Amino acid sequence: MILVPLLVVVGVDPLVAAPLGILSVAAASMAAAPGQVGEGLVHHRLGVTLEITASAGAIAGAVLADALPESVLVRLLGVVALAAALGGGLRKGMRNRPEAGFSADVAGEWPGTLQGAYRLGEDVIPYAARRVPLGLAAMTVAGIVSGLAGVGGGFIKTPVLSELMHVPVKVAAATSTFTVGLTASTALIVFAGQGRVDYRAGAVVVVAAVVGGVIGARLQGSLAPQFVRRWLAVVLLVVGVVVLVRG
Amino acid sequence: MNGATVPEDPRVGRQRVLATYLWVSLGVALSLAVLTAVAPDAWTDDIGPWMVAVLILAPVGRLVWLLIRWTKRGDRRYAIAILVLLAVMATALVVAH
Repeated sequence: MILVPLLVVVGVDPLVAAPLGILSVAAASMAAAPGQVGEGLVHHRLGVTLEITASAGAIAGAVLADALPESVLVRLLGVVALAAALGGGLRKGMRNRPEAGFSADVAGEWPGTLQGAYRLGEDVIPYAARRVPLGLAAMTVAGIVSGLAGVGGGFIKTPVLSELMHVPVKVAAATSTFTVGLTASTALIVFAGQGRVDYRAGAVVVVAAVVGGVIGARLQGSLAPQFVRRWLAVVLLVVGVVVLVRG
Repeated sequence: MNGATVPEDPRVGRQRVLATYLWVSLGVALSLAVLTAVAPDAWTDDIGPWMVAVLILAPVGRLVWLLIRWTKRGDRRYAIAILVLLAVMATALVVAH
């Protein structure tokens, strides 16, 4: 989310920065996936359903990015960084609550439905995704932004899942990590086909994203999510303002 | 109760094999990225595309694994959703060329 605006701030062409951003998203999603799947936090059925429109949006965005002037892309990145700062800074707490009648056996996604449950300490918290058509529309927007700006779109997807569709934040974060990996994969196909991937720089980004993803997953247990979200929001706010002022 | 109703056998949603596949994919992608980063310039364009290919194909492999699993278990609606998603991703290939 932060790489592309930062690269643009230091003078990298947005058309070069976007594929690097998408590579970092794909790698970070891959780094987080095994742990999240192991814990039963990813709702694959929900992710696949929503990703249909997000990937279509990502294709449109990646194609549009090639046609748009650099100044428009720079401004868009600034707005995206500010929107991400706002989204992270304003995110709410817990909506779904533990249910005494549910045992640990039901934790995970439930077959044939957009429902499931997850474990929080000793408790089991059931949930059901709501407002699916609205969620699909919002994911299209997230996909377009991903393809245009080279960002993961998780800062749109996670709030859509948690605030609009009432999916618990932990499941929303893990499911959106799964879906941003798919969006990144789709956008990467287009970028690779256009010959826009700088392999050497991309490799460095991938290594950093994987190492950062693994360290981040470990730190997640010791740092309060609100603390991390607020600091990231501050950094994004500064980057967004700098990008907009320079652009 | 949050609008959720418990299915008959919720345990069929667990995915240990998938987690192992994801660990292996991550290892391969990381190894290729390190090789691309440290290899001489002449090799970068040979190894780099493989790194990108793994990053593209690992999520696709995950979808294929889910497609096979859900088809076998009669979860047809979501198996079809995967097929539609794979078709959208294939469209990206057409657009890219």
